[in-house]
Amino acid sequence: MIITLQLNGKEETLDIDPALRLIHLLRNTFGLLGTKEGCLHGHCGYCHVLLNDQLVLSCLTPAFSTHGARVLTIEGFRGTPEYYDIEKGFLEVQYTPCGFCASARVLLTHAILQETLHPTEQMIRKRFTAILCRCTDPSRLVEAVQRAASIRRHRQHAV
Amino acid sequence: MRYNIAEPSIFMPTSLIEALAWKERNPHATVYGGGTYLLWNEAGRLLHLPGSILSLQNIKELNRLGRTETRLDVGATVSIQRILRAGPKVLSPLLAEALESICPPSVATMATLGGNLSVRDRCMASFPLMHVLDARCELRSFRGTRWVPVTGLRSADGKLQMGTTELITRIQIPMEEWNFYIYRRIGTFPYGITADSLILVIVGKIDRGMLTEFRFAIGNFSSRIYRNRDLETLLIGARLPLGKSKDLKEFLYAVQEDLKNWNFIPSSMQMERILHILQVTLSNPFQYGS
Repeated sequence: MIITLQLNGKEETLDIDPALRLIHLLRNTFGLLGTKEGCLHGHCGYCHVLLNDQLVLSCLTPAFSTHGARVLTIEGFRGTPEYYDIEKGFLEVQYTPCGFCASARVLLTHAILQETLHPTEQMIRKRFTAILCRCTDPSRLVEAVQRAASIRRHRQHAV
Repeated sequence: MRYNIAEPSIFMPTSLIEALAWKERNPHATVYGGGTYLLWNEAGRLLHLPGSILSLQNIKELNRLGRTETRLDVGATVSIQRILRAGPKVLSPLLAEALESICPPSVATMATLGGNLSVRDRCMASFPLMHVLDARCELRSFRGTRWVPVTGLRSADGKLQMGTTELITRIQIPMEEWNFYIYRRIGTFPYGITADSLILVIVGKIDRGMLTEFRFAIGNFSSRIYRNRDLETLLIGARLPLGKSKDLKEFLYAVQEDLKNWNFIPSSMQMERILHILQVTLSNPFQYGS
């Protein structure tokens, strides 16, 4: 099956097996290893990517469904001003998630900040239940996301 | 490596008319909305996809969400997360609480209400809720449109009353004010919320300290849900809170006896929890209200 998708801002046309999951397309075909493979059941949340600006689990997304869609992985997101807001926010409170869940946490933070620039502690804790990894302190996580939100607010006001 | 396996035929229309025409020609094609049910329990690297798939993802007409004074109009491919994002000005507290409990946040970005209701062999987590709220579904085929209440979407034996060429295109949820409401998942063991857990929905209206409307339903992911309207009317007119009244004891006993005749007998813990939640809610419903 031939599909065309916009992957990290670049148009790609390729012939795929329709039974392929998006995560395997990203990792094996494009070598985008920032998206981690975990349970393949949608429980662990390590494989989050942005599909048409919506956060989705790439393990539960068949590759064929990305035909005509925009896919953004951590590799594409890195280098954008939005990424730097989050990176700066995380670093300022010394929040360092592990290498396995970091990309998913960054993209999830971005998704939260797209919804609101004033995320509450309850909202952050609830949304981050989507990622199973318990590598870091949840209270530090709340602080980091709120710090990133404040940096983004300031940047947007400056613009 | 797989050999001699035919590729599934996948159709991804951009308009509803195209989708309905294709469904008319391919009545047994599997409809793909958010894909969460299709990929449920798929553990392998390659997915076991059905022979033909109709993907509704690119149809903008099905991705609309609107609210009038009396109802919420949800397009079939609107994700649960998007409904939740509409916020408290659009959603009733019951609907917000229930939709948050239907699936985890990561799956909510993909799962759709239309898909949740149209699974052929199971009543998924939103079914008892929509049943109790008297929601309606718009079913469209190439030949026409009809509206079906969720209460009539399945026959008494649990068969989905939807033609093979029909698609759920819209869901209308009445936005009534409920004075008390409960949406609970009850696992088979304490704190064990699994795919086979029960779903208990209770809603009620109180007017001048009197119970004027009361509905409850239980789902268990089988093809049928439990709802007994005769039992629901037993307590109508009772003065609240019921506390430890005889009426409440009789009602709980009737529920317990009736549940034993149901196709799915809950575990003793689940039965205990159902009766306990009903008892606590009705004893003092004011604490579960908006």
